[in-house]
Amino acid sequence: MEENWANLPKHILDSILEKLESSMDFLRFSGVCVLWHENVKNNQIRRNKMLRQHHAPMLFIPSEEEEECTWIIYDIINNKCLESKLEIPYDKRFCGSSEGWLVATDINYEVSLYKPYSFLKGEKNVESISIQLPSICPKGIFYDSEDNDSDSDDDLEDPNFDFYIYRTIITADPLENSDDCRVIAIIRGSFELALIKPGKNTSWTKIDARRLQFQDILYYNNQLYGIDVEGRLMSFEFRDWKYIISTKLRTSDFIGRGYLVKSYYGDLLQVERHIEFWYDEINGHQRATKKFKIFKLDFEHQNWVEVRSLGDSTLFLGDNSSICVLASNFVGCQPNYIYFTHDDDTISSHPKGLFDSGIYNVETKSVLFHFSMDSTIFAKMSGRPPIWVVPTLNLY
Amino acid sequence: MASSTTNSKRILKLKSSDGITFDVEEIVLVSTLDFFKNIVDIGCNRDDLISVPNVNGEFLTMIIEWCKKHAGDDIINNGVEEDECSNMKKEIKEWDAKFVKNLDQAVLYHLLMAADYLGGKQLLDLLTQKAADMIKGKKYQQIRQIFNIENDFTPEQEEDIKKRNPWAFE
Repeated sequence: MEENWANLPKHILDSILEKLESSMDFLRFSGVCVLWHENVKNNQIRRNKMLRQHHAPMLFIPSEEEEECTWIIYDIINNKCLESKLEIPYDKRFCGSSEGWLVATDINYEVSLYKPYSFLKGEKNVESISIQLPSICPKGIFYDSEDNDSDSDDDLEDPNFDFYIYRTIITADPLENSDDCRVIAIIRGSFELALIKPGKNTSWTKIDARRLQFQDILYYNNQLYGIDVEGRLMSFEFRDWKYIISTKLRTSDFIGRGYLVKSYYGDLLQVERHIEFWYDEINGHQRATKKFKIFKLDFEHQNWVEVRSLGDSTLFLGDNSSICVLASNFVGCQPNYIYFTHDDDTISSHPKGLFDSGIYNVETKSVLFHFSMDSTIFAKMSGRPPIWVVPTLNLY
Repeated sequence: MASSTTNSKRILKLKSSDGITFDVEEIVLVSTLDFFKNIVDIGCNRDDLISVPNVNGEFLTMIIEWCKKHAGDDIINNGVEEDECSNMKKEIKEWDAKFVKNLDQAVLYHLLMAADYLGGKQLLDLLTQKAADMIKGKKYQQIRQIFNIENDFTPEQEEDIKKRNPWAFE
């Protein structure tokens, strides 16, 4: 009997396909032959419903041609920039990257969700997908729109609207899983939380959280959790806080920020990013990440236990919803590493301004290197820092 | 009259598609492959030669080897002695990794078909994981080469596929 991989029985092909966690592998499988392609088509709905917390992202970097507002997609694992350019009709900072969707605000504080991989230009007529949400900032708070022209004594400058939201998460895909989908934002300034159900609510609701200032939020095991700047964990019942679960984590000498992430094996992790900030006369304000510390929540004792190794997993941290992947599912991905990007702060536009992104080896506790970038890109990046985005599939 | 005393000592006689015979302990086959579990459940006369027409001697040897290693899986998986069991599990996992390590696509294909025919779910899982590992990170042209698959798309169909999700096909 001759081998005939092209005509493998369907259930065996299904079994192979479900073991490909990388969307790139899944799509390439579909390009092998007609029957394999059929198999992918039959599995795509189930596939698309898979949570993307565990898929390796690619890095979106604003391109040098600012007038065109395109983005370059950098595949960090294979160290190459994709040729496909992204023409997302937006030229400001994204305040969230979650489940393969990007979140942005515009000058009216209206929030938009974009599915960037549906914007890639091939000749195929793929509908570009985006969703408009109501304004998150009620008018009249910052300025009265009728007084726009007056040079009044207003010492309220035009707010930098695209920094209004500090961070956003999406709990489920708004199109495929709209019943479970909620968008939750941390508002800069007060660092309070606001929530909306796309398509179901007409306005955002503030979540009462006892005035804690939030640094990160995570939807974990069907429950919303948040950490404040001290690393205290709080859980929510969607409109109100429910429990404060842990005492604070930060030591008094800590400078940096914290992230919440669900580990590949289902634990709740908090990652501390230790950052050094300094000022030098030539290059201006600088920052560089020095090390990371990883903690796992012990639910029973309500405290954080330090974790020395990620084992066979890898983390991707930045402005996005943090991601933990099983390294062996993505050829070239290093286990027990943290891939991180410069987040939140504006990037110095000085020629040698350090771009605080790089790769950290958890075992040796060292930053392997910081990404070097052409200094001309820095000037354009201020306000548009690169962001990790998990790939999504354009379905048949 | 058969002289075997307890169940676990019963021997089954197998015959591969190319006429090679094997004597294997019943418990080894029944605990790992549905094909034999069913035969024994139906109540075959154990002195008979069981024909395995779809599988030749070379591959049946390999499968039997796998079955022997995994015959005690249920006991280990439900075992009480945690440390001892986890060491055994680790050792079996390493053995499995070695088993699939150097399989080429031809042998892998025949083992897959045989495992499917014989109803070895766990073995099938191990082999499909190997196939997935051979696919990971490869471009579709490379996958075709590795598995000797002919391109049966029309040029238009192939273009369509590439343009729908261009980022995966650069």
